[in-house]
Amino acid sequence: MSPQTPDTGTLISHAVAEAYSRSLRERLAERSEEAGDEPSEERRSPISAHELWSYLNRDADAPADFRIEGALRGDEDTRAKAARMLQGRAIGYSPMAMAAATGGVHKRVIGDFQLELVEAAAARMLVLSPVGKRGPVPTVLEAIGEGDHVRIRLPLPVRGNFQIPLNVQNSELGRLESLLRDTETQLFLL
Amino acid sequence: MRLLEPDSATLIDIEHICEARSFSPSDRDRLTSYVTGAVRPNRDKPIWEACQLLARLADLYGADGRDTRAVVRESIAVILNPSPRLPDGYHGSNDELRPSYSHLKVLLAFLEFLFTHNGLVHFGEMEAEIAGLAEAEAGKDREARVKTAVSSISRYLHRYRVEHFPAAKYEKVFRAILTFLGNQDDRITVNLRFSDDDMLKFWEEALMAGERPLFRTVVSHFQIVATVSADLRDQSALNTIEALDASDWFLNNLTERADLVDRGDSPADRYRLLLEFLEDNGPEEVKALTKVQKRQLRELVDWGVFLPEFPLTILRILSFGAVQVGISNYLRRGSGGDDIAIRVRCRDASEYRALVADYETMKAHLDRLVAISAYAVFGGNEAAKRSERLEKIMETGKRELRRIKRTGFERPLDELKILLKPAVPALIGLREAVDTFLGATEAITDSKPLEIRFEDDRKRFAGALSHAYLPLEGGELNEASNVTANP
Repeated sequence: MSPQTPDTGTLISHAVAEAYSRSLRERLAERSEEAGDEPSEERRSPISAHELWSYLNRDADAPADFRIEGALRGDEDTRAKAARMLQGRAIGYSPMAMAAATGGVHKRVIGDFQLELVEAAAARMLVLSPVGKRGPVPTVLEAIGEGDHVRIRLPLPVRGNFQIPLNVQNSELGRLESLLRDTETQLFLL
Repeated sequence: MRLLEPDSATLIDIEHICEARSFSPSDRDRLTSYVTGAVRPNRDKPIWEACQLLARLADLYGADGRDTRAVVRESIAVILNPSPRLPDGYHGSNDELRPSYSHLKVLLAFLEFLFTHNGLVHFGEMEAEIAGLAEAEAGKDREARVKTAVSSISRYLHRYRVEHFPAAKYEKVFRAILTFLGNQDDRITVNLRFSDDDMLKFWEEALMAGERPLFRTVVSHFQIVATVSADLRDQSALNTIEALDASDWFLNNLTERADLVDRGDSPADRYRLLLEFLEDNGPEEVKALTKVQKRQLRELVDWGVFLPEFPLTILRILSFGAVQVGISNYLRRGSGGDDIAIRVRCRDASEYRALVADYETMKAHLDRLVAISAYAVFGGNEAAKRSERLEKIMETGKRELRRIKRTGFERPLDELKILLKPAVPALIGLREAVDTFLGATEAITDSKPLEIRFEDDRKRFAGALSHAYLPLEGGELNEASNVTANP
């Protein structure tokens, strides 16, 4: 064998890839013939990756799309995909609570921020404050957890701190609060 | 039914991407090759091209002062978009790195696969690769970053392939073939030789052992083993197809050279390009080949380098292989058409003589098409008249054009010229493929007439098929099982 000839291992693995590619291609052709022009329901994810990506990257005050919101709340698969997409793009990300909550105070560290639930006699509020170096300022808090997904537009910060009062009638805030009680809820700052 | 069933997650991911992008079968095939790494000589080539594309996108999106995060966001939006629009300036970019439109389309789909496969497991890593490319300064820094990106993506993909593709099983199949051939005769891999009969025996043994591979699948495995062995011998030119006299002249005079001529030189490459032509449907306006004719040609061209060497095996696939595919489809559907007990007797298998006659008709039709194309494309060309042979072909073409009754051929000559020109190399190639097969078939007829070969084979196939498929029916033994070989 001449020295420039690829080794047998490489050739065999090429051959294997080609054989596999061929059987995959044949099967795909069969399936597309069987399905005709109608894409079958079981194969369709309700929301395409492109739609989901565009939606998650919409402007902070863009209107909600009910079809996608519905999928985000009702479909676990779509929620998991959204969480993966948000991870990279978030200013801050917290996969789960570091420690159990103590007393009346819940704390979560999200990137360079800390989210705290403050319960005083007169007011209950979420306070988001920077703990590390100064980075980009977030405008949105997004929570993805068991069976739900909430997106909150953050108010303007006061001396770097964001205050979100919870003692108001707002279903979004109520859902956010219950999501925060679950230690496995993923939090994103966008 | 298949010897190696493809991974369903991969199937669904690819299918999804292709449906959303309205891909043609050949686009789908190309994407599948990229995903599986069936690309020679370097399986990472598509990854390298995809990374070049990412770097280019990063440049264009970063040009108007966007930060890295915005560049990443825009790039991913293009990759995931089933109807992608590339930013302004893409098409004015460095020629060397700029793939053709059809290639670009598949590369973008490949990138979507890399981002979204397996429930988006590598989405974050892929995102980081784009960010890295966007942050690297153009020049040396960027080149190094592209290399890093290629090697990490290649690593993710490798892990995915190991987990999802039955590579180990394939290697087992290849080893089995090599052992089988070794047992028959003490020859080493590098000088691998096998016959029509070896392939049939290997398949029969698999059926006797309780497996049910399709005969055509077994033959395609032999084909791959043969390719490996040929590569080992470092012989790229396996079999040279005898060219039509005037074909070189045709090809050299096609000013807008079709992709067909440019890419790939080995016979295997040429056959692959012919298949692409058959799948892409050629010119819609001129009905040169009917759907049935295309399928008939595909069934032949599929066997590429086996055409001159194993005409008998190809006849077996076309005839008895089709019977087995019928049985396998029947089992999958659970109903429709004849019962298994009837099918295994191979009473309806196409006779070899009839198959050959069909391809003779096909060859005559292709002759006609080549002549008509020659007349349409080179009709007014003075230089063409200098070749006596070509002039004769064009005369025939002129006559045939008046006779042909297919849609589109009634168009004015100058329109026909534009429509037929890109198809000429493929039509010549197809004609050669059919001719090669017919010539090889004639050569084996001398030693034994096709009628006798067919009857002999019917007994063998009926025996093997009954053994493998009849017990499923719970049916009683029939006449065919009497010829079952020894276990």
